[in-house]
Amino acid sequence: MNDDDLIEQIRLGDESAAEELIKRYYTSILRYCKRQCLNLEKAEDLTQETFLKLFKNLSGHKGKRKFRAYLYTIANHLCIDESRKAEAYPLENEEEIRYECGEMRRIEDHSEISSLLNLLSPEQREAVILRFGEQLEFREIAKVMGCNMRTAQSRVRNALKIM
Amino acid sequence: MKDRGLERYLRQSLQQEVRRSARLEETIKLCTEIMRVRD
Repeated sequence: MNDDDLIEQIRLGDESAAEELIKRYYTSILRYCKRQCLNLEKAEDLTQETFLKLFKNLSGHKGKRKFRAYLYTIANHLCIDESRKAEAYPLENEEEIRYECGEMRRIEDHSEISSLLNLLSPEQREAVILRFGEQLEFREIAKVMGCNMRTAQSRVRNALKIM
Repeated sequence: MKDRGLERYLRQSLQQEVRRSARLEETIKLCTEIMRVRD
C-alpha cells in the first residue's frame, strides 16, 4: 500500500495502517533528527513529536503533496525550533553539557563524513543529507527547505564541488 | 573524490541505520490514541 492509501485508511480510523506508516518512516526520521541535533535522546523526542504533529494535523496533508516531503518538513521545523530554543535558553549545567557536546563532536569528527559535512554551509549540508541520506527528490528537498527546485539542485551541486 | 564515487560514499555513510528505538512502540500507541480521540 502506498503512503497516500495508508493516509486514507488512517483517516477512516484504521489503526494498523497507522502502525504501518509509522514503522515505514520512524527510523529515517530518527536518523534525520539525530543528524540535526547530535543527541539521540533529543532526536527520539523530536521524532515522536513529528509523528504526533502529523497525526494531529492529518488534514494538512493534501493528496497531491508528496507525503514524504510533508513529513520531513514537520521534522525539519521541529529541529529548527529546537535549535532556536537551545540558543535562547542555555541549560543550567552549561559547562557539563558543553563538555558532553564537545565529546560527541569529537567522536563525530573522527569520521570522514562529518569532516566533509563540516565544510558545507548549513543549507548545503541540509540539502546533501536530504538528497543522499534520505534519498529525497529535488522537488521534495525544495519543499522541505522552503526554496525552489533550482536552488535545491544548486545547493547539492555546489556542495559536491566543495567536497 | 570523483562525483560518482563521492555520491556513492555519501549514500553509504548517511544511510547508516540508527538503532531501533524503544520509543517506536510508544509513538505508535500515542498516535493511535490521537486517532481515537478524533473519532
